Amino acid sequence: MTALWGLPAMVALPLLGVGLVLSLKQPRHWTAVAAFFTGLGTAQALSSAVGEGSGVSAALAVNAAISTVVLLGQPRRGLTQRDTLMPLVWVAASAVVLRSDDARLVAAGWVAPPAIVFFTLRRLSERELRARRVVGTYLLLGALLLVVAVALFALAAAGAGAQEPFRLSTWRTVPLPPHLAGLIFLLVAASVMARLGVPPLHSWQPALAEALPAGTMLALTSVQMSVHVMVQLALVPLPQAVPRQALVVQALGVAGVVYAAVMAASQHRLRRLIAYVVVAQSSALMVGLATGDLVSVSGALANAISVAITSRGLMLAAGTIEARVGPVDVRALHGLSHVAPRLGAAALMLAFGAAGLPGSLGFVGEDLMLQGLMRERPLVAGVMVACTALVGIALLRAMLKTCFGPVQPWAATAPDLFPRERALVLLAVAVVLLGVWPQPLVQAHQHDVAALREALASSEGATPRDDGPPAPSSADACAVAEAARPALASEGVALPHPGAKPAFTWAAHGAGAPVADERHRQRVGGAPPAL
Amino acid sequence: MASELLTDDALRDLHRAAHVLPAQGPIEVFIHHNTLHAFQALPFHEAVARAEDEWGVTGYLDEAEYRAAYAQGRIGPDDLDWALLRLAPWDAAKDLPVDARDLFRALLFGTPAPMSRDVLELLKAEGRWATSLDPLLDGSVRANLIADTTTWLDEALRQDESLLPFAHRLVGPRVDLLAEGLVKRGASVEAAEEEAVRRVLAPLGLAPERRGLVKALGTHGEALAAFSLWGACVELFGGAHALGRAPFEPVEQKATELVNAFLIPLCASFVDRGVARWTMPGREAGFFSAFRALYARGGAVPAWLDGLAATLRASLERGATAEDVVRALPGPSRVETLKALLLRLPGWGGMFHRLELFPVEELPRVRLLDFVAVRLLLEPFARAAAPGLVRGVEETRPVVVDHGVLALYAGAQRLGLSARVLNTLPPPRREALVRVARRFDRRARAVVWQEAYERHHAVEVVGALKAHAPPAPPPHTLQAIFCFDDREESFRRHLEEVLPSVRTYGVAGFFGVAVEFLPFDDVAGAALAPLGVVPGHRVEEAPHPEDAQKALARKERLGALARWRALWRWVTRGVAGGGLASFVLGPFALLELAARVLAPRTTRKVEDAFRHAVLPEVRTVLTGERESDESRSIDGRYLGFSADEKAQRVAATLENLGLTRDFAPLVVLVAHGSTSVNNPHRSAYDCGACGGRNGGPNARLFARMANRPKVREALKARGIELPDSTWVLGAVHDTCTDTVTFFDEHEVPAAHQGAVEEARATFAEVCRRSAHERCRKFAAAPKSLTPEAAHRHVEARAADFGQARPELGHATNAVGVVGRRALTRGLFLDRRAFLISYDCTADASGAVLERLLAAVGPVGAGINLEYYFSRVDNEGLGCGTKLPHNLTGHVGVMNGAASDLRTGLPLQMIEIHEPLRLLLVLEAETDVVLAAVSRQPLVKELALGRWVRVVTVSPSGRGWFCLQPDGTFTPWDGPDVHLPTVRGSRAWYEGHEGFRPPAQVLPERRGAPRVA
Amino acid sequence: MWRDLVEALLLSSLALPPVALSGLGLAWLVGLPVPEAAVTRVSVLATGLAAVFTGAGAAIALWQGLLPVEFGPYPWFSVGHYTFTLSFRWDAVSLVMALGSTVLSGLVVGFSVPYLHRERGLFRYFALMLLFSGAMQWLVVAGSYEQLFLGWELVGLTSILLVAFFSERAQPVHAAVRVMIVYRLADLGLLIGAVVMHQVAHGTHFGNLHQAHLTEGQATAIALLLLLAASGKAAQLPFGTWLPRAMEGPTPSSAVFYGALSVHAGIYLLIRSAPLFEQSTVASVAAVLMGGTTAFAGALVARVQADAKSSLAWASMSQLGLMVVEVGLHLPTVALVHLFGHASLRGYQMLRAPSLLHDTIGLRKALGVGSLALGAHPAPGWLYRALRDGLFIDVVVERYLVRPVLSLGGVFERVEQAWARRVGGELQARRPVEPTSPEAQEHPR
Repeated sequence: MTALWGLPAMVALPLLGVGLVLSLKQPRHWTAVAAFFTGLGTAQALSSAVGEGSGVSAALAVNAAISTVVLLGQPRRGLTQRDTLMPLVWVAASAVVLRSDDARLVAAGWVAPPAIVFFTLRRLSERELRARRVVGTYLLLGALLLVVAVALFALAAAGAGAQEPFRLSTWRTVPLPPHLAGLIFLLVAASVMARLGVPPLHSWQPALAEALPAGTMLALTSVQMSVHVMVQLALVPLPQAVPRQALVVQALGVAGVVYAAVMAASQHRLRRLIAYVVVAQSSALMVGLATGDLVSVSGALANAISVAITSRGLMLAAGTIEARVGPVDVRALHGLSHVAPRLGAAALMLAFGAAGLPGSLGFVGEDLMLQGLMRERPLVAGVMVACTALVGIALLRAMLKTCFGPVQPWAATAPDLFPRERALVLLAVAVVLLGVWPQPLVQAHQHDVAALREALASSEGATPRDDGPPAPSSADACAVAEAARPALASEGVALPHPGAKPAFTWAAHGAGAPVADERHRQRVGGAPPAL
Repeated sequence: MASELLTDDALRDLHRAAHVLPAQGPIEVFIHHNTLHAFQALPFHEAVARAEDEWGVTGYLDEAEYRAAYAQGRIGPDDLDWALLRLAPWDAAKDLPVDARDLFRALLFGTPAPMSRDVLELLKAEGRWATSLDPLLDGSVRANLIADTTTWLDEALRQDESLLPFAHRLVGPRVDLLAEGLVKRGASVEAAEEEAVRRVLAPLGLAPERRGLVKALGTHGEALAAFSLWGACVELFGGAHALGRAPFEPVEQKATELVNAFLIPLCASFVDRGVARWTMPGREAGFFSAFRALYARGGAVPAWLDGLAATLRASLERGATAEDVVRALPGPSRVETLKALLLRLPGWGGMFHRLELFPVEELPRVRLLDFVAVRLLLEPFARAAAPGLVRGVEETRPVVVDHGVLALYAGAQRLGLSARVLNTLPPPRREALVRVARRFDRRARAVVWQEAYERHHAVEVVGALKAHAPPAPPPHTLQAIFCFDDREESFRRHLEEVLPSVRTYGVAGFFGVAVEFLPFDDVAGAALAPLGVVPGHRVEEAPHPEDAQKALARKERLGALARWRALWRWVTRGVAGGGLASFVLGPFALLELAARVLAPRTTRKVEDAFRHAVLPEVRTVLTGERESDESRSIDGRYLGFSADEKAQRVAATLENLGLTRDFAPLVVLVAHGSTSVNNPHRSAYDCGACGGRNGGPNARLFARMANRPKVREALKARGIELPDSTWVLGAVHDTCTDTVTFFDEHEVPAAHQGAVEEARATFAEVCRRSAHERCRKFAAAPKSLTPEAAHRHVEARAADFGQARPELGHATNAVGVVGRRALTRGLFLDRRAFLISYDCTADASGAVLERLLAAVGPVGAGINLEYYFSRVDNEGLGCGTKLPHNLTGHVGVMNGAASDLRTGLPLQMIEIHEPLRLLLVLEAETDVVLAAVSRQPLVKELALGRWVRVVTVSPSGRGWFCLQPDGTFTPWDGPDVHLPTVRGSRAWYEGHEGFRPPAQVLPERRGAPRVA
Repeated sequence: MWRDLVEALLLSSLALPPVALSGLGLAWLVGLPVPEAAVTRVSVLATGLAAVFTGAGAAIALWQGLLPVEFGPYPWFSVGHYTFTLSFRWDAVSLVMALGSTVLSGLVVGFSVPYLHRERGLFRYFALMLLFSGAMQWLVVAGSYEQLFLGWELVGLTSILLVAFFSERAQPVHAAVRVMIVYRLADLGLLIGAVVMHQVAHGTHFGNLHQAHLTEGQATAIALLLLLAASGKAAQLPFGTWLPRAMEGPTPSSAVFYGALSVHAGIYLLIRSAPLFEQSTVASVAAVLMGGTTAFAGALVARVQADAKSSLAWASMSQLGLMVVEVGLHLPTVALVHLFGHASLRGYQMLRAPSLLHDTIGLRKALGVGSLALGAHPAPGWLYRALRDGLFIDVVVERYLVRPVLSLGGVFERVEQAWARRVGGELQARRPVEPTSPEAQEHPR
């Protein structure tokens, strides 16, 4: 079953869709066919996500669902065949990247979407010609960095005598000289940062946000893929590179958040503003990932899904709004909610999600990232939280002004969401649902996190900080403590919040975990509580 | 101001410009007036056009609302034809390829709301515009359109190799332009053509491929017909010229916004009558000086006002006055400049203007001039700063589609004009189409709709009045005189149903007694007289001598309570006081809140009981028996009335009523007022004829006058025989709670006690029935209420401080009938009619009619027009929803913390109103009416300018006539209507929420089941 | 067994409003008709029952002497060793607050039924009131700072959306944006404070605050962060100038947010954090200073306000300042009683604001025309000016905080645009000048 519905199906389904769309002459069928295939993809990925409980499948399901929504929801005006094909290509590519164990395939899946976009941008249109230059400069070149990194790694692996030098799962056993490891780490990170739009490699985001339709734009942004590549091609195989090179990445990420926050605060046009919001979120993701703290990485993984949904959702919402009222200036009021209340509600909900308000998935992700980060680098955490708040303010301000205010007479007849566009509402509802009930999603990522933990554990033999793997008993201790809590509480004995146990981290796990265990043992044993 | 006007042309200009300002006074005396008073000299539709252009408001309903009224039968096809015949632009209809009337009708029903190009393109791309025909289209018309178009397109497909001609037939020459543009971009001719055709076809979801297109002619016939028709319409309007730029002035807007935000709190502080504890320093010197003194001293100002202090200091040194500032405006354009300036904050400007014309005690020196001068000082700063703040916003300026194109596209479909037809029409006919679509624009259509709406109403009412033949009532036992207020229509009807032997009369609710009245519980008097009538007499309510002790106690306690409450208001806003109050009284506040929310009516009863316990009830008398003309009171008013003056007033009113003989043993005068809580606009619910106050004292005073033997003697001399067997009793009807209170019962002679008791019981029953009828219009009232429950419901409404609609006021008023009650007795008029008693048989000269029209015309029209305009544009001409209203300075309400003062009526008062101009039915001969009207300039303005619609019925049986704008009368041309007959009003209205047409209501047979 | 009953009552009272909200919200989103009667009945039922359940729970808890009691923990989500657990704490403080907030919310919802009748935004209003009452109850019974933060943010969110309720005008939207900015910035204090506390005290449970052995430095840092959060919510100077602007919503929402409950959430936070202030002299002094300033300045500014709602807003601010002082003086119980009394009093006063005219006319009758301005007198010019302009706070913030950030952004923006032009040329979506030009035909969105 799994074999049948595994990687081949996930890739073949969308590609089948591509073929069908290409064979259809009449434009009115394209969207329906494409959406049908992405919908199938969503169902398939969801079923395997539920079946396996795997984060990769969850990510794939999210991607396919976003594609479906974008396909259904993107404004029809001026749409070309490319805009219907790109989401399919993207789903196939992300399946390859997320599922494949072969570094060559991963690199191919990584390069394919920007390459295809690059080659299909039409020369007849001035606008697309310019967009083409931007795509080429940032995304194509950026994607190629990964190819270089893969090539280098494979060479080194082959040199070290690996049977299958392109097999990802074996990479972490490949011994690499530190400078090479650092180089590869940075190459991968740079490629990912270009794709995510982390400053200084971000300019394509705001530039293309206004120039390309949602469907095509979708293919260029790949939060899930980026996070996955960062974890699987850099963090897991190159843990030894983490302390130093990760610091560079982290510093860039923090600077990126600050920069994007200031930029977002001073934007006037909605789409550019959203682009900077995405830049800020992406930068924050990089910071979370580069921390290497397991809680932070989990947070980043959860947040990646939130960012993927909200960023595409917001862009789509912006497109849907602008299709009704024309270019949106943040300083002006547009009164959209009066004429299109459902669109307004969906846009606001997505904005709240992007701003990380409680009840949205963004909050869960940010809380996790913050918990990890605060322990590691409190100052960085403070700066990041402040800047995230600033970004949230800029976004919410824009959305409030877009949705509310006097209805302009010329927009008074704008229709609310058409039935197919209600797909947008699904994204908004998903953000809330996942935010209220995040556990399955967070749980789904435990595989990836476990892989990371293993990688670290295995690599730690080389590092002087090793104190052995984290004691599995701590989880049990935790459970015992939780079970005892009501009883203890009623006796006036206070227990710390369960989160008090420092999670396993590079920096802290050496000293932290055993101590935490120790503390638990004491408490359960009835020793006086020490806080 | 008047004397200054002569010398200073700047002031004269300001005075002229001030016409644009609303004339509403401080809110505690809200008096209805024509919202478009400034344009009243013009005929109605011209005035509306002027107001729409100058004020940026709307003077008619949305077309969608008119269409909804049509769908509900509130406008009939005949009415529409009637209005079209008179008001459509027939002169533009030459050379039309279709019947002009059909085209007008098609435009009336088909024209969509205006659209921006963004919306249009969106709808097109979604297949919701120009890709499908109007779904309401007649089947055969649709089939013809499709067949005609597909044949025509088929031709193009078959003729040529290229698909360009085909696309050309769809969108006209625009496809060529597109192709040329692509060629310029470097594409080959073939590629450009294909691309151009592809883009043209994209909204249809078709590919540029011949075989598919041929097939599509069959499958997509409708889409192609619609699409090509749209293309043809756009071409008719000149292609690109069919699109225009919407008016968009971000800089202007921003500048206004900046100044308003700064100015509003200052205005509020300046005209504050006691909300703030600390008043604006130096405000005795006027707004301009006070402002200058405050802001010349430096201190932080918003960035855009940098340099303000220096400017003000310079102005101070120069000794410049507000006049100087206004005078500095260039003369020729000054009036227009000032108008524009005032319209940026009309509510506040209007309040300054009003307070200048009618000063109030607390605010000595309010001048519009000061207000304008301050604004003029601030304006340059805002103008300098605004462009920087909105740079780039103009990029969002939208492109709008010529409304004519939309109208023509919709109209052409209904008329079955296909793209082929439009494209092959000779030029004059094409031009005629465009001309009509342009001329018959929104406003022209709205005029037709509005007239048709009113025509329908007139036919309904006049037809009913014509058909109505009430049976003669039994001999009278009671006469009841009411205010002519529309809310008393149902009350009178129910009274006549309950007590068929009653005779009811309607008269202006001050009963001819204009008086400055000082109630016992009040320390200041108020004028109880219609707007514009300055009472020359003053009457005080004094305690009955026997109750002197109690009165003293009551006064003392009232004063103490009030002082305590005044103190409380300040104290709770202070640091220590607020803290103390929180600790001590907080929990009680919670209890009180709970009681008022959960059981408003009971709480009110408990409260009343408490008041009764604390404040002793005091019987009062009205002072002011005056024997000589000498005793003027200090403020120049006579204290009380002499016997002659009394007789004169009583006689005048009775003569107006035509009630000069045959008096019943008991005559009750029922004034009205309204009590409710949570209602800043409450005086709008009181009696308009009493200056927006409770008319009770007038009724009481009138009754007391009429009961005086001396007065009766004097009346006899004037031919009015008021026998001793008749007692006149004053009463007041609370229109909100539907309760009637009698005055001075202790003075009723024993002989009349029985009659009074009977009347009390009758009125109580009538109150219940009236409440029941009122409840049908409250959407929140339960649908099946007994009269008793209905009465409880309306009482609870009045006591509920969360109730935004304690009563519906004059909503739905539409008719005024001046004539004998026989004309309307037993006619169900749905609380929509002002009923004024007038006996034309006793008024050959028309003097009484003239008096009545002069008093009643402006009041009725004022109420009606204020409701009309507040209804058609609630945001622009009314004051919007009352939910965010914030009482400011005791002069008016703002929306939230800082907005313009809102004038007009709130949404809650007008939402069920049908905006119809008052239909004034006069029972008099045409020449008498004409003479009376032309002697009264105000009435003439209203009647000939069609602000009211005047219909007369000849008492001598010559028939029904309509007054035309040129002052002539034409015979009534409406069709006869069938008038249903029911027993009891309830049978007619029960189970219906909306409007009910007139019906003849016979008194209920006692014990017999009601006949529906 | 009693404990279980109380727990069930508390949990149901917490669940009722959100459940009602999701039901109504989903029905609306999928396009089902949601008639007014359904909306109002569901809302009244949910908030009313929540109040009844809370009351019953409180009564049982008091009767059985269960207080203080903590329900939970219920795990929400966990990663590795990190678990976000939820727990609900009932002690004297939260009991008073929970009763007050549910009863007031219920009453105001009841008040709103006739008040909002037929209003365009009726659905939105009741949906937001449901969200608010749920969030407020959550905030009040939350067992830890992190959990409190959830309710806190949602209260802020509903507050913003209700300020913008009458959004067909510009003013409410600008006011809502202002409120949003202050809230978001101040909330940083709570978020960071909670996370810091989590790190240094290994938990943020209120029940453990007394035992948390924090150094004075740590306590000061956390207390100051919480003070920041509270000063935003409770409108303390210099952050509080949003409060008068927030009076744009429908009267009942203004009453429940800015008279009765939402603003008091800030005070509640401080009362909850009283142990921290007891440990930190610096934070206590800061609270006293800030609260004292606000108390006096607020009362003074209230004196020059010429409209009913602004005057009440500044007066509220003043009392809130007093409560902050009480917390700073380590008198949390006094603050709690003050809070309860003030919430009831001010909420009622705000609800009555539309009736002010009636009251005034009554006064005028008894005391004469001049009585409208009874006791009113001019203030010294300089003082009046400062008070009228809200002590210049907004102006100063605008000039020295907002504008620098924006101009920095402007510089960045220009650099970026120049770079973008270099790489790909101008890519902005402008409206085509000539609407029917070929370029207009493609205009991808």
